[in-house]
Amino acid sequence: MTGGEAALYRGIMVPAASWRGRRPPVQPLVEAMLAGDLGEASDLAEQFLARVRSRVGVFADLLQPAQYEIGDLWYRGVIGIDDEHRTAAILERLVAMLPPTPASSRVPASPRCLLAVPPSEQHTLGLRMLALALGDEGWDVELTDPDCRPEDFGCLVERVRPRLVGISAGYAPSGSELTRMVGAARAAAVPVLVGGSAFNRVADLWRRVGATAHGADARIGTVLARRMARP
Amino acid sequence: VSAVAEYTIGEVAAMIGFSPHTIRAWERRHNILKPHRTPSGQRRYSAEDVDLLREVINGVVVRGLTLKVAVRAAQGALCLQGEHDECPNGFEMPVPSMTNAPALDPETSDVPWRAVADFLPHMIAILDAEGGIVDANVALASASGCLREQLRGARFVDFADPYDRAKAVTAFRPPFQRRRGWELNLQMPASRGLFSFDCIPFRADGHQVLIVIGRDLSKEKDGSQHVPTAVPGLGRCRTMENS
Repeated sequence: MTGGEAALYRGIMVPAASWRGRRPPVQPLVEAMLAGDLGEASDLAEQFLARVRSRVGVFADLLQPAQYEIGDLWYRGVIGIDDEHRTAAILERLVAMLPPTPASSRVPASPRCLLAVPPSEQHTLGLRMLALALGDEGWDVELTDPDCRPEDFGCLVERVRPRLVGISAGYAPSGSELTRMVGAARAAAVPVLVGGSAFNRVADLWRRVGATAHGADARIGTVLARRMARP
Repeated sequence: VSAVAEYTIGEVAAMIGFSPHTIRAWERRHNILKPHRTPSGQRRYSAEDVDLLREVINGVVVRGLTLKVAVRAAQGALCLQGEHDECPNGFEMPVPSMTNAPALDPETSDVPWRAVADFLPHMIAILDAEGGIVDANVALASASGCLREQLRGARFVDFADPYDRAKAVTAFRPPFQRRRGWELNLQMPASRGLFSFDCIPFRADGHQVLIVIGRDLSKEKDGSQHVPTAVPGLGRCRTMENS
């Protein structure tokens, strides 16, 4: 095992700080966001960050569960679309305000990864969380233009030559676009990590579109990315 | 990483934010996963195992469930509120307030007696002076097809077979009396038949309560251990086989 491989393994074997003992304040955060109380929401996120000392821990254990809870409330008709948009705006502010927490064992040599969403995808917050989390891990992250067409994606992959491609989809009206994007990256021998609500709702969608792995949240995404970066 | 990727316990721990020690403890205590073993005996987990763990943690974090209930819910042995708005037996149950739920250590139950009671196969309930359920263990909640929280306020006698209801009302009417081996036919969505109850009057916070402990006599006769099963015909519930 080379030094680089050992560092990768060390990084995997050190779990991020856990919330064990006191639950993350998901419900209070949901209530604060529904009330439009950015101050309270910020306090909750900062206090939780102080506990877990890991930005990706806040993403995975607090913000994403809150995001899914809001989505679930909307699905059940408890809240309206205005509520959902307001909470999404607050979530974006929270994601942006959390300071970086570099991983203790970063991936060696700053491998490059390319993150993308399918065309017309409006839900990009999950991808942004993954981008920040990968940045904390030492990745050199490139985000594609949201209107990048699937037929151009292959050329983009060839040009950037990433070690990893990440694709996030909030919904999947057509699996063919996803399949083409994944196929373009796989044709260039680049592993593809997928995530987002579309994949979380349909358990085996990631396999059907030909992806290499599915990261259900930002923390799982970083662990899988680290694994995929192994030579 | 292939489609059938298998992850080490260290990787899974990093994915869910808990230590390998905790995952092993959950496997041991809650029978939550059965990972593959390499020839050298090391655990290997699938993507589905990670999904299951995430669902359990989500149950604890978002829904405020105890770890034990969250495990059973993730395994499909319990129906969560929201999937079914009322208890399958038609009772209108009070909806638990998750925001007021006490902070839980996912390793242990929040109330000490539950930590013991939840591990027992017996159905255990605490009844108030009106015969309403104040608290119950997982075995009873599972047999009734509800979450523990949803059972609170329900009348225990409503689980009795109609022919035994008068007998049940008499038994659970104050002043409470100590009884041993008192038999009652129950009709619950996931468990029915003749049960033997021990009734123990108890005083808590100035209130008289009755602790009832039920054993399934039909299961005891054939020598098998009672394990509450999933409610048939309820969505994605799967049957938990008696191991």
